[in-house]
Amino acid sequence: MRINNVGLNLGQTTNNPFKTSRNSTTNPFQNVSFEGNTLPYADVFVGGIESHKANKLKMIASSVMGSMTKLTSAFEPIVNFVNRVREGISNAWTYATNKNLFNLPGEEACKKVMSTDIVDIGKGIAHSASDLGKVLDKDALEVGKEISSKISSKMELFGNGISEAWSSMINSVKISRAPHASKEMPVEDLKAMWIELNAAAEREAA
Amino acid sequence: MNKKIAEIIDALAVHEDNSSIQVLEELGTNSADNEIREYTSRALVKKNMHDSLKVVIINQGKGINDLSPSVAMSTINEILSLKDKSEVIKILDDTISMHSDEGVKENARSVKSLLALS
Repeated sequence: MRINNVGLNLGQTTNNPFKTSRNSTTNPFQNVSFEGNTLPYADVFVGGIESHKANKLKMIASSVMGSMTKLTSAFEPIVNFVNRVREGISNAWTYATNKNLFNLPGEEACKKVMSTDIVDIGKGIAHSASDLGKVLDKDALEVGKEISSKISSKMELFGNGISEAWSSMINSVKISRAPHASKEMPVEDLKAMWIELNAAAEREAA
Repeated sequence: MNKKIAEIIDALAVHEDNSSIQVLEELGTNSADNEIREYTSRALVKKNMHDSLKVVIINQGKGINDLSPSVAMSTINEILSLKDKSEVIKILDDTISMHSDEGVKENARSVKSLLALS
């Protein structure tokens, strides 16, 4: 069965409780008794036709007043309904305002987070950041030391290589520009030249 | 052999300072290069001095006693080519008579025989 069909049937079969009987052909005061509810001084109007009309109006007025008192019982269910709705709304509001909305899974975590002062949260974040910074700083320091030592050793080797290459080049220049060995040269100078040549030969061989 | 070293050896060979002999012995005869040892030995013989001839005759592994035949033969040929052989014969005789090593004595005896035949 489809919902649209259900709605259509309900609309057709449900009576509107607020629908007036103004257009109805039935008399709402049909079964109401007017005894004991007549207006006082209703019979002050005297006369032939006029008294007859006055009596008729008196009867209508009396019936209206009487029906008002009698109809309180007829309106009672509606009043109760309104009261119930109003009470229900009030209860719902009270429930909503007094109900702990965090009675859910993870309530404690939510309570903890929501009840923590924003300053404390800031301190916690700062503390965590500080710890992280310390770890990173320490690691970075160690990494820096390691890199520095490696670079230093490499540069030392590189420097030694440069130094050796430089001295070799200088000696080569010295040897190439050195005067030809002759007997006029001191023996010590000839010896020094020979030693230098031997060292250059060893470097080239290495 | 390096041209510069050859020039140094030649300069030391004709140098008047006797300390040149020590330099030739220290750097030349102890060199690992056969050419340098050979060239140095010939230079020491050319000097034709007592100290220089003694280096190539009485020392084991140097001059005529070198383990390299080319070095030894070159030294012997240079000795044979000397004009004045008096100093070398004197040293050879002293070596044959007084040296403690029989190998050195035998080499000195052979060189002296070659000098006698030349």
